[in-house]
Amino acid sequence: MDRRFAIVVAVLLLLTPYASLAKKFTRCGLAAELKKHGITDVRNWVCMAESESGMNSNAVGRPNRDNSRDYGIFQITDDDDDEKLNARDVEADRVLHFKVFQASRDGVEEISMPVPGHGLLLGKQYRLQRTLGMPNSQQGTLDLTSNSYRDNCDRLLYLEEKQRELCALSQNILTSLGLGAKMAIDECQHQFRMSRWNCSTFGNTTAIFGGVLSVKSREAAYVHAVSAAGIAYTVTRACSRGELNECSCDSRVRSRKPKGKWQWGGCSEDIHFGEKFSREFVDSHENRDTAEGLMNLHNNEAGRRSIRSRMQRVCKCHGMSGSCSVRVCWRKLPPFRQVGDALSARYEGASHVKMVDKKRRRIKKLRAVSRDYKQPNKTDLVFLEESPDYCERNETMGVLGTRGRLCNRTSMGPDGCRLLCCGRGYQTRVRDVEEKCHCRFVWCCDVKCDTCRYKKEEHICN
Amino acid sequence: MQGAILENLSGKKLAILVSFLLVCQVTCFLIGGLVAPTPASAENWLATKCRQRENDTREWLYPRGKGHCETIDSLDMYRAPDSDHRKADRENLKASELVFAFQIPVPRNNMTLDYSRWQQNLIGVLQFDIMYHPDAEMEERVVVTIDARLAYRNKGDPDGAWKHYASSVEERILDCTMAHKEEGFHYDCSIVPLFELGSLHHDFYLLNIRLPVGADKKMNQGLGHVEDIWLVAINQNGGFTKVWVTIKSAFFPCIIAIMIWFWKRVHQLSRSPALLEHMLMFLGVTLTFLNMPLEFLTLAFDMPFMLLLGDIRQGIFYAALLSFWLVFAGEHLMIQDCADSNTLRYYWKHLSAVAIGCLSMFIFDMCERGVQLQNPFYSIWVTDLGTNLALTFIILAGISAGVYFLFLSYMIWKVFCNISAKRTVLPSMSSARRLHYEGVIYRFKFLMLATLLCAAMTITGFILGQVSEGRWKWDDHLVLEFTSAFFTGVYGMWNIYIFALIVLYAPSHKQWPAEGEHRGSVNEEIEFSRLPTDPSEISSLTTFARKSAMD
Repeated sequence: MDRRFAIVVAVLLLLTPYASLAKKFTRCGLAAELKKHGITDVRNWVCMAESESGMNSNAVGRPNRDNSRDYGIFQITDDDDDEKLNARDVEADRVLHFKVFQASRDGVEEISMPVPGHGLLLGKQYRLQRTLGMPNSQQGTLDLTSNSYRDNCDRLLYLEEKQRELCALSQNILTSLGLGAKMAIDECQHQFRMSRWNCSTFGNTTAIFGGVLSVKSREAAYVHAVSAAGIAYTVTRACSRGELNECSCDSRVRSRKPKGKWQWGGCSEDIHFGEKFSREFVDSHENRDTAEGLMNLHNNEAGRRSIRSRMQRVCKCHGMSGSCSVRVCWRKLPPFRQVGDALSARYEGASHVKMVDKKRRRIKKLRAVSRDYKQPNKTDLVFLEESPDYCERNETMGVLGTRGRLCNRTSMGPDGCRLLCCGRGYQTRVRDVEEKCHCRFVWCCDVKCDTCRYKKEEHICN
Repeated sequence: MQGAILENLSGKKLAILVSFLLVCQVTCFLIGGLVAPTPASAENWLATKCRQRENDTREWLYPRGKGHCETIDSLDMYRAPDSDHRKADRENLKASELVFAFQIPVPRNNMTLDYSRWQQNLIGVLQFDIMYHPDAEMEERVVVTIDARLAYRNKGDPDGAWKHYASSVEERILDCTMAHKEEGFHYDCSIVPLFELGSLHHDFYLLNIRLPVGADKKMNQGLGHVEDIWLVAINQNGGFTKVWVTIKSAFFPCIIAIMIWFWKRVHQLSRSPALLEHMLMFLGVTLTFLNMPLEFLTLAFDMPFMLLLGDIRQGIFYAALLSFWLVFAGEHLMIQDCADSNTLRYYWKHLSAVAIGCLSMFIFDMCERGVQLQNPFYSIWVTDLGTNLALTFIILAGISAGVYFLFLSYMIWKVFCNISAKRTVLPSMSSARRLHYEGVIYRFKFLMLATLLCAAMTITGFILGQVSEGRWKWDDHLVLEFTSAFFTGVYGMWNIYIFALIVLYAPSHKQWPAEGEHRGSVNEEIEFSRLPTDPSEISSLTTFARKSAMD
């Protein structure tokens, strides 16, 4: 179940931004594109593109010796080990090219991304993008024909029937789902940046979180909750932006006709549709008869509720002469960071549960493992198994281990060297770094910074 | 002077009338509670960030439909200090290129919604999502300069055919606080009222908002990382308007009929109409003005002045009601020696309080809503001068309200003093005089009771509405829309109150018993049952017959 869920997330995540960007270039077309982006030695680039991929931005190369593959117009390896990349000059060069292209992508639709053809491998793109520090959101003004996104949905073999139906509703839904999943992962990585398990994602396995989710641990609980919340959140936002035509107007008015309904009594939809959609989409492949399914369903719901309970009520008066005889209130969506924080707190206090099978009424329920513990309520996260310690690298589990992680020498928390390095100790290195500092924000979209040089002390886990 | 219908009405008849009116009252309340939706609804809409390439600020940028704008998904990429995070190829995004566009209403259920003229008015409120960032700490109070432009389009027009409706560059004050400053969290900012449209004549509206940077380099520089802008569009609900107009249309012919009846009756008398009757008539006229279902006209014509007109109509009605109470109390002082008391001039001191209060509210309203006719983005509260001016008028109105209530309480107190004084001497009076005074006292007490009841119900309803906020669920099937019920209930109540006043205080045709008539049994208490119990409209002949029978 978990693996499947992770795949769904991964697939959505990656399919979204790149879905239709693949393109085969002509020499002239590529040269023109390159020039547009201020690249002067056009000839070298075109040659490389021609020899590497035959100008096909969709190209996927044969497996390299180390089982990595090369993708895209410049055939960049999917091996995300940065050190290895840097060691190989060619690859580094290509990464540079890749950067240029990626950077140019947002503005120009024709520029293509190295997109592997099917869902399994898409994780790589995400990873690359993260390591390159690309902006998070890339839902652009893609103009897909109505057929292409339906095809995309059909190609996502891992989607359940129900999900495929939802997915095929419109391109924008797919986009929102992808963004939601991505936002959830970003949030997860932010929340766990100081823990031993840092919500790392993988591209080289079919599951985006590696095998971590196969353990029904607190971490799995968090990932489920934050993903369900992320999808509800982005769908709600897309609805209020008018991007989705499907958003229902869930108003409690006594009129029948949907359009007349709005004109009669307004649309009290705030997050209802987002929640409903998330429930239908994320929950659809969980099995209510298994402990794991119940746990995931519980956590998904807890995630969604954490948005609702954090919505802030705002009111405005507008009566006669501006008096307060008429008062209208509405709810404001909280920043997603707040949702992530709340779920983090729930993660800390998650309940260890087991499935109780009530024979007589055939109802399966989750109950706290011991009677001494508080029974979990609907907003609490629950888990079935204790987490591994995440200290050592474990390929099958998809745990990276904490070796080589930066830790904080003075902190007593989970990011402190003592805890993070699992008692293996740490090395300290001093580096001369050049960083932006004294930054000032200038409205609307500029940040002016000075450059500071200073010595930076870093502690690295053994 | 003859008595009013009230004192000559039998107890049974009065009971029937009062219970009929109560049924009407309950009906009004239930119509509001069960049929009507909430009076107004608010919809939350998130801005689409559009990028404007051309310098032409007259161009309309809209997020949906053919020829939609180039959208920006996130401003983060332009704001990252690290050049790696930036778009390598692009120049920076300038403030003048960033347009927050709202195309309202948004589609729902696969349908393009459009505004109906039943929805009457639209109020726009902005909410800023400002992310905390250490490089842009915001002060608690920031002045935001908003370049807002509003356009409209109707069904059947091409997607790009937006027509200019209003535009303005406005300054607004934004109060932002943050208890726990951490990146990723938003400031807690006050809402920014942006515009008020008195009419919702068109189907679709488009709001383009720019937050410009001025030549003086000060404009908008205090702003932090504004990530998104939400527009909360508040409009009256079409269903509520329909119910409201129905109630008005039902009351309108009633009040006219009652007034005609009243005026005829007054003119049938041999004497000229008394001041109180003039006041009743005036009250009726203002109520007619208030009840006039002018809202029907908005379905055909663009009438942006409806908000203002509504305020004026209500204001005039309240002024008339307040004046009426004063005059009523004054007329029941039972001091007959003052020859002046039958003219308005006698009450000029008291009435000037009402006049000043209403006038200052009117001026305030003209300054706010009057100017909004010209510029829907205008608000008097933005500038210090405007705020002071507005406060001056509101305080003035408050003071005159205070003075008015002092006057009124003083007069009522005096009336009660007189009543108790008269009561002690009542038994020794001649029957005609006694009946006259009994009538006066009874009329006064009846009005006092009715008024207090109405006022108490209004205030209770208002407080309940404010406190409860939510809905009042009696059970799962019967959901009462309390706010609407309050509005229709109160509206119906004051209508019925005035109907009752005009009917019950209309002059009776019944004659007083002759001066020399034998006094009835000496009774200490004045009771309703002591009054004649026969039909109200008995002619003088029957009176005469009865009198002779008694003799």
